[in-house]
Amino acid sequence: MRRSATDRLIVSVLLSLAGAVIAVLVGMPEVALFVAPWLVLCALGIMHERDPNVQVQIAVVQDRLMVGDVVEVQVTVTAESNAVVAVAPQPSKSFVTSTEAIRPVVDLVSARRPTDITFEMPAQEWGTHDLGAMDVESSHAYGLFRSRAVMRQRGAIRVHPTPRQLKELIAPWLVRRVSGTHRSRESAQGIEYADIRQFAAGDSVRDINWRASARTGDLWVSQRHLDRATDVILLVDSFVESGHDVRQIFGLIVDASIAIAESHLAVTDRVGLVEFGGVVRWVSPATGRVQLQRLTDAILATGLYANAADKELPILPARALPPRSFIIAFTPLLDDRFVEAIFTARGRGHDVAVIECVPTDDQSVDAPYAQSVARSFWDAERSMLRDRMAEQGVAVAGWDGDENLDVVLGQLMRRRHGGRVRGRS
Amino acid sequence: MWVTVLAAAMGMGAVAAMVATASEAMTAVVPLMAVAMLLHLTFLILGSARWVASASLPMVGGIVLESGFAEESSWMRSITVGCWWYVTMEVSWEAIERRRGARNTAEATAHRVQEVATVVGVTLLIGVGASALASIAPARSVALQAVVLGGLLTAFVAMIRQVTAN
Repeated sequence: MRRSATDRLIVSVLLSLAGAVIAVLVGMPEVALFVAPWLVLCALGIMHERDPNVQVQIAVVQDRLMVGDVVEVQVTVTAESNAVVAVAPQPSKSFVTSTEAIRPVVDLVSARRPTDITFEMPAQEWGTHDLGAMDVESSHAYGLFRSRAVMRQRGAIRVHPTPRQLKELIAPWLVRRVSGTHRSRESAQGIEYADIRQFAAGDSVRDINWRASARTGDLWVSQRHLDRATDVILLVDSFVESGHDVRQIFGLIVDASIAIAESHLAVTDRVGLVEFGGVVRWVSPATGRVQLQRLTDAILATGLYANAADKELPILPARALPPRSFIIAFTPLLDDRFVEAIFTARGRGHDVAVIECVPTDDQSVDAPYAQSVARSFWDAERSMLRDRMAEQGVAVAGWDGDENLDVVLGQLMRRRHGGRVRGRS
Repeated sequence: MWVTVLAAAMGMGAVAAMVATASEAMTAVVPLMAVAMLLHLTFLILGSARWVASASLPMVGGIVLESGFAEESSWMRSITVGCWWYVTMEVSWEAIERRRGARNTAEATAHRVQEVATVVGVTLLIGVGASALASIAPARSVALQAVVLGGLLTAFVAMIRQVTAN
């Protein structure tokens, strides 16, 4: 800790010296007596001067929480001698915006007896946050000197967006040869009814459709769709496009991708992640709660970096983008490189659906004519892009964050039913 | 907020005490005290911990004028007003510190009060002792004053050595 003199020491020394010099020069002890308290303060302060050697330990009670939850940061302070210690957290601005939560606390720390100071900071924004530094200032005896240090907390606090319970699930066109809950187009042993055919040798008696058999006089058996699992790849657009509220757009992407990952993992699908943008990262598909945690951490840690370099989807290994996987892209459709990646994925035979995450942009009635015309061109261009995607069998549904995500998934499924998708199921 | 009000009230109280106990013939003390009060209130409101103490200079000036004019010098008056002014300064510093938004626990406040009380207590003890010694002495000779001030200067030198050594 760095030691320095306080204003109290400077004022005390100056006043004492001035009083003593004047008293000597004019021969008036009254002046020296007037400044006597400062003289005594200096004497007592110097006599008891000792660096309390304050040690601080910072602990976060819970490092994973939801938006709106309160992070409890516990600071344990120990000192070799009694000292008044001021502790002030300095978290990042994106994490805590309320100044009330980070008000410094001034407490007395007794010698060799740990004192706990707790800060309660509301987590206001999703993301992976650095707790930042902790400014610790200890006042020595009689406040003539102080020691100051800035302690840094290692580790991160992960703030998850508020969870959304989805009722809808986008049914994939392509499934894996593993049991699951998605209906396969193949007819075999499943739950959902597909068709009937005439009884053949080897058919199970349990499959006989007695109603159809009674009506026709021959034996008929019911055929059912196979229940299969699929690989879902969340393709997240992290290209930074200037002129847009990137954080708000990416907030929608994070919100939707985590909700959809959770709903697919709940039905034993393997879910993976590909972050395609300033940097390219991926999480290989897997199942289970741990995978949800892994995906959430990866999504929250997504860095939004401006990058002008060309990026191509084929650079991804097969384990990141397995064949026949169902790709759900989350994008504002602003960057051509990402749009190209969607077409590439579709061209490689993947089943692709796009959730267009664009916040509501209320156009002002008083907007200038040129602006209105530009906006009309912009809307037309985006509409053409959606049509081009639909032609390629890529359904697009927009989400502005206000609408229920289930409604958006419903729209997406209706559009997918009308689309053309290559490949076998 | 109430600490600021307390500091302002204590400052006005100290100034009023100086004016009330000054000789009626010494008219120059009143404007000096007005300056002291103005400086104290201004820097207390502005929140400058270093400059709020500048109000002590007119107070020292008032003591010099009063001591030079009065026929009977009063050591106890100086030491009492000095202690009062010192407590005013400490409360002013505390008020400025608190206005920066820090949350002080009761233990920290009690510790500071205890330190201020110790300083005032020791000063009053010294003052009473010095006053008693002076009353025993037949006259406040220049030699006695020289001994006292010599002791003060020696203490200063020791203190500065200690500070630089640390």
